[in-house]
Amino acid sequence: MKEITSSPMFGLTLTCVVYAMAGALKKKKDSLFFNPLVFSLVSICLFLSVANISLEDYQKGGNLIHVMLSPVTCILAMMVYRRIGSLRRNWLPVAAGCAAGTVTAIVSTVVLCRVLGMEEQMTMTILPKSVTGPFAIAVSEMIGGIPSITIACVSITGITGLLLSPYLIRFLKLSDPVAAGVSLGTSCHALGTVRALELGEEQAAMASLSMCLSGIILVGIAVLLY
Amino acid sequence: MKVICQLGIIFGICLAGEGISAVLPFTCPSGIVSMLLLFFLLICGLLKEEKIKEAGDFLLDNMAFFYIPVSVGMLEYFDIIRQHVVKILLICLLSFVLTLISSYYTVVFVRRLMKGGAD
Repeated sequence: MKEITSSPMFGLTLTCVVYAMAGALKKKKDSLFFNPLVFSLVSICLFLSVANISLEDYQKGGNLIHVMLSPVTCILAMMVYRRIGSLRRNWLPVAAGCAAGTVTAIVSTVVLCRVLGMEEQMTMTILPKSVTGPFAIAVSEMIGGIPSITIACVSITGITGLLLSPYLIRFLKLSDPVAAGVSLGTSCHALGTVRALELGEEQAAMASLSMCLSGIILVGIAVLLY
Repeated sequence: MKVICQLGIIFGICLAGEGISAVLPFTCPSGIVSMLLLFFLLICGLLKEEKIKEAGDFLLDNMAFFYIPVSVGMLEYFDIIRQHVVKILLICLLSFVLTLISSYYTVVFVRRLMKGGAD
């Protein structure tokens, strides 16, 4: 058994199978649990613990996938490039909104962590939670957090946003399309973009643009401070 | 063949990003440097979007897949997470609401300011 699980093919196969299952299930029933990342994460963790397979074995294949995070970050440039038209029209409000949102996210996280008595390392781990994965991992590594937990916080924030944003938007009457898109992208990254798409094309374009922009702003702040 | 070429271009840009990141006088993650580099190439027209379109869309559409290994890594920290789970949920929730509101009203405010200036 060990021969099989310690092959890099094991981690690769498991990840692909589980991700494909998540995709198939999501098509049948659009539930939060079938969010590809959440479903894959929970299933793989359960499988490894039940079958008593070490994380080290899984990561032999996992690391091959992990290497691809750098190209995934790089290709976000293509997404921004495609939205360049909407950015030109509204660059100042969009940039200001992303900057304000990112600073609010940082300050509120640090203050809440202090109030709740979190250790320094946990604070740094939770800090990059509002930006999309590649940026969050990069920042977490830079400021001394634990990237694996950071990505969990990123997912939690995304799902919170997905669940709560329709109520917030209705309750607070957030009707400005540009502002709604920017605030969704800034506060809950890719899942905010999903919500924004339900509001309209313009909102979605703004959300995906803001998701990248806030990530860059957060990296910029981290570079300046560290 | 086409997709392999496209991936080759993307990997090459990432490699260049790593090179640049190594010689920068400050620390900036190489993925971010490669992203800025690709953006620069696209904006200047040095690289046409079609040259990386299929491979790029594949990466963008399946972004979640590439995070799976790093998120599974949290198994190692299971105890820390269990200890803090309620606090983490609370922080993510409150911070999300504040972030959404602050960026929304900043955009509205700046747009109003700009309209006022135009009149």
